[in-house]
Amino acid sequence: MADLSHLGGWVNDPRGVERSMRPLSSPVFGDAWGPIKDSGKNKVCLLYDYILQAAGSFPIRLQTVGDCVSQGAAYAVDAAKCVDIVVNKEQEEWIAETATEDIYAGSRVVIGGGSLRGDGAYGVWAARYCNEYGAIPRGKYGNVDLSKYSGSKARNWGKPSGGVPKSLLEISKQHPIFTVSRVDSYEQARDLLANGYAITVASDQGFSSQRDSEGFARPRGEWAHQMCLLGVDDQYKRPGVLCMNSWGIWNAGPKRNNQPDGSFWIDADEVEKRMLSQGDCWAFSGYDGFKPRKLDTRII
Amino acid sequence: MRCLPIILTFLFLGCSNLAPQTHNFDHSRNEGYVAFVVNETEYNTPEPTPRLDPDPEKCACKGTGIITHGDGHTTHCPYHYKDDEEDNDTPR
Repeated sequence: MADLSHLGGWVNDPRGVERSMRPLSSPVFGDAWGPIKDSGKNKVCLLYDYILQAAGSFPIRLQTVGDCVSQGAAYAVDAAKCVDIVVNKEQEEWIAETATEDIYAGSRVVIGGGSLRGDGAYGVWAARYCNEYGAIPRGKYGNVDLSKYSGSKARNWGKPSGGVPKSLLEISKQHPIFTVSRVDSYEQARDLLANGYAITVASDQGFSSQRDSEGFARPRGEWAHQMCLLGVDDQYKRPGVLCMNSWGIWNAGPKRNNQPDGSFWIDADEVEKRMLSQGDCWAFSGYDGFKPRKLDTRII
Repeated sequence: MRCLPIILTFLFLGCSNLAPQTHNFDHSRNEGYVAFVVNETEYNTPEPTPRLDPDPEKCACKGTGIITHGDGHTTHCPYHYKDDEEDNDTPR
């Protein structure tokens, strides 16, 4: 096993990604694009706004270890469940932000077979885990407490000898992401986002911590990192996508469209050329969420 | 030396009585126990990165202009990074 800890959170391994995406039913979105092609043209769709509406406040994630792949995936699951609640009016309820520790461990151990040392994972592993084993909101599940983020718990569960507790897998499997597909171009990303599908973006492209006057961040430096696209504005004179990071409030500068703290806009051509082209960016479809429960509050 | 035959006898008898044993345990209880141990064990959790602040003392970068994030990446602090040369990007 290679020691890849120096690479940070995302492991850039195109061959590994290709191998890992084989079992997927719709591995490449381009093949299934037809029905929604160009539907996002000149449109604005802000998935972060749906999260805000459903959750009451937007969760700003702050990772403490190299588990960015799970952080980005968790944002995509948050978006999927909030689109179901706010837009599709499905009988589901927001419980809490999506937990990351199980996604991280599941990606590395259940999907990846414990083949990586140090921190990190492939984007496709997290996408597959959410598709095959689901994702759950923060909370207590029997003896397993996932109510508060713990980077050390993620790291320990993510060790080759670790994994996701079986009792948690049983619950998680009831709440899968229905389909995950690789996204390769801005136009695909635009149409997916405009239809309510969030996209995880893994690449080695970094960005400036200073947003410009229009809320965009300039490509700058290298990050082996996964984030999440939670909005598109193809109507604006400068078309682009909203990228949500998981480093807390790490950047500053003007904002547009009430974007969340810690986020930045990326120009359309830049996101395609520098991120989507790297082949490990994944659209998350609908989520089998949590049905509202009528609680019996009678005092006996 | 007189004890040796006795010890050997007991050893022999002890060994011959070692029949294969099946260890039964409650898998769900074991799972719960493992989860309990995992939850209760304290690990060296790094301190969460504090927020940015115009005051260098309160800022995540502590006035250095460089912020190190949980996954090891470093970024320039938008408040305290002095040299605004942003030209180290490689065209792709």
